[in-house]
Amino acid sequence: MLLAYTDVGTIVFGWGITVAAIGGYALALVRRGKRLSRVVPPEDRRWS
Amino acid sequence: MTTLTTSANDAPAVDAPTSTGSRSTRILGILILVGSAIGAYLGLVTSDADRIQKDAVRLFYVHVPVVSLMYIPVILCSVASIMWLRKRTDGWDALASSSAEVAAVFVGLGLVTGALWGEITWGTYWTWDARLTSTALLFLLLLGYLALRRYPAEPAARARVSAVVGILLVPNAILVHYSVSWWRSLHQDATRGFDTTMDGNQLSTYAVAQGVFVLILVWLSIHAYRNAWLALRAERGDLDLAIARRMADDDPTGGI
Amino acid sequence: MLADARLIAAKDLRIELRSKVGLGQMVPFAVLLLVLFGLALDPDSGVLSRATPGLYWIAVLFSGLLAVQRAFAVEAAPGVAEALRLSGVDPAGYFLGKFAAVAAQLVVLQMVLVVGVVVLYGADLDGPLLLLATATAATVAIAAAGTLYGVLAAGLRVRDTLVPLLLLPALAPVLLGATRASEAALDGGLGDGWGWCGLLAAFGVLYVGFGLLFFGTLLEET
Repeated sequence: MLLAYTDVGTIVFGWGITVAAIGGYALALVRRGKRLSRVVPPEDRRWS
Repeated sequence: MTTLTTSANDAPAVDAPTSTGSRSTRILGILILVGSAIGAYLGLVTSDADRIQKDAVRLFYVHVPVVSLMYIPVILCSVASIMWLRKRTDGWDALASSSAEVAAVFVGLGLVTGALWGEITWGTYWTWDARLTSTALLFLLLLGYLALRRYPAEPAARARVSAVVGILLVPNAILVHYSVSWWRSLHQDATRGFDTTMDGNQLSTYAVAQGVFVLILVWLSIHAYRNAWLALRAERGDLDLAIARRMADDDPTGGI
Repeated sequence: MLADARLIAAKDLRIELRSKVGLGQMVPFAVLLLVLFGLALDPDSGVLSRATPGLYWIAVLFSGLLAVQRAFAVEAAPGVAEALRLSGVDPAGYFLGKFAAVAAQLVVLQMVLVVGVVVLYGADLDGPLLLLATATAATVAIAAAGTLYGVLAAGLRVRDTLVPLLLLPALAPVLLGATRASEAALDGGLGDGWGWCGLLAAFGVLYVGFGLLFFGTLLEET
């Protein structure tokens, strides 16, 4: 069913790039956040 | 009278988080993952192709939410920049830089998905269509702002200059949008427009997609803000450390 | 404020006249652009004459970039910015002065470019009134935005690629307006031309306003 429609390649590519961009950015944010949290003293990290 | 050193007794009772995550973001994250799975299934598998657009509408499920939301972080950046000029606190500075980052992701995606949609419906990636061109310029404006923020400089000077450029983002975007639209309206074919009403299960699929992207925007914004905040704090920490070291060097007795 | 402006403008223009960097570098650069465009866009195919307004304004924009960067390089020397601050110059006046100096250089630049375009591209200067109005409005717009973004260079000692990256997208509407208005003038169908000219004027007013508003902030002490 997935392969039955037109322009499958472009559409899948579009979704793929969206997932990659958002996922990649999210990952970068989480990693950067972990790294920075190690450097910054606990009093300045106030969220839960 | 404050002591110069902290002892174990001063340590906060609650453990400070070791990342920019928190309970609310974790819940959001799960909702996003589940919602995305549902949305992808609906969008790619079960929903119907459009009468007019055919399967290009499947890109709409990604493109429309992204471009509908992308102006929010842009406006937020400008507003935060104004507020920083008035209040001069790190929070507003962090909000400005983080919003710009998130905005760049959304605007960039809007561009790419828009071009891909155009490839399917109009046959080419780029037609200097008003929307696409304005968005491209907005993207460049954001890249300029982000480049400015990355610039090695005194934090205060950088914040000041970024604030002015940040405030100008919205007027620039408006001017660009207005002039480009006027320009293209002089050349626009009637056929460029598409009937974008959605019927049947398309509407529900779109609703799911829109909802998921709102959650994504919120999740990214929270993490980006906390990151920016931490980065500012870390910078300040480095500065204090450097100053303390310098003072210790100048005064061998240690200060007091 | 106006007295300060006149002072600053006079100082900058005097520096320009003495050092002749403007005449010696910017003007040849602009003419060079025109020639390069001619090389790139086969003069015989008619593309060049059709593209004349666009090429002219791109040449103005890029040469204008040089003028802006030069305007603030003058003060990038250590201690100069501090001295200016201490001298009590009104930031708004400082902005107007810098703006006037840049605008003046752009005017001289354009006079040469107009000759260049007539000679090299065989342009017929139809609709001279609209052309003049367009050039005036666009000059104000470019000088105002350029001065505002250009002061960043003095504030942060940035690399040369940052100011263009910030300034050019902001000037996109000016490029659009100036080109469309010039095209309208040269084609003889003046219709939309005055509208675009109006857009340029609005842009210019807006950016002079922003400049007056924000220059103080940008010149603040750390």
